Amino acid sequence: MASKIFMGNMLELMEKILNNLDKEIRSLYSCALVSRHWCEMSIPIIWRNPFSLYIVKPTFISIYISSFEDLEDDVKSILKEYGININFQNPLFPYVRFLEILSLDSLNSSETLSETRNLNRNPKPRPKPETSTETLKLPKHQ
Amino acid sequence: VKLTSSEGTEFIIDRKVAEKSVLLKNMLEDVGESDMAIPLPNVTGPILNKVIDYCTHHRDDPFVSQEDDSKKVSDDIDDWDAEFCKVDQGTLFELILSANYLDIKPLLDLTCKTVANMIKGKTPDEIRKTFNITNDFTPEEEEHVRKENEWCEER
Repeated sequence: MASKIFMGNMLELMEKILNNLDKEIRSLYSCALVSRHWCEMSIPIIWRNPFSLYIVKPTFISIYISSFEDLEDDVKSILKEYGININFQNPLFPYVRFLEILSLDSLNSSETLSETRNLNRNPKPRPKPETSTETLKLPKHQ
Repeated sequence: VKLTSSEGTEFIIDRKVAEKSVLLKNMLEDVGESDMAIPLPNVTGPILNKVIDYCTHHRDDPFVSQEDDSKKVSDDIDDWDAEFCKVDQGTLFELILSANYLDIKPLLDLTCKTVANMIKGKTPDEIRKTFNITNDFTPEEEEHVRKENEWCEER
């Protein structure tokens, strides 16, 4: 029998354990794939500050943007102009809500954005991209 | 100070040792000097024994406040504490529950860190095996989680 701490009875204790891994994003990613409950517990920690240790990667940006719940059409078209076609299917979690730190510098790196374009297979030559602050507006926390 | 474990075993400890537990500290302040044993129905004798060992060893440590979470690195466990945590998994989880119930923050931090270290670097399957967890994802769900978070693995 697994300990009740890991079965969903003692949420704050499991959170306390997983919080120790907040600099170990790969280990948290493993945790997220253990079971449904583990997933629900680790995803918010992974997404609290995804900019902390890694260079932001294009797949992250797609997921990040697609988890906006109220992305207006004009924002979508701004993204499209930059060649970023996000698949706006609802993601499993409202990832944007978990974010505590948003690093515009990491998102604004031209390398990242151009990689995002390539990922979406819609290359469009464009001068050095500037991340529009509008597209990156902070989510409305509820 | 007298304590009784869940089975009714009596333990006599110094007040200073007992006061490592915020729960007991508050109780003792409320009750004042008393010969009455404090019943701890949630803690078994062997676990209480371990907890007392810990509190005795750390009796002179400065008090750590609830907010002070700066020491979060999981490899700063000293030798005595590491040795203390070399117990079977069941005992370790019982210690977490008791530290939580008795409100002994440094012991709770230590035991949670120890479990976190058991998770560190493992694959999902190894974690399941270590803690005896059943994978209740459907293959589709699992794939979905993988896809949306695989950026964690990118370098």
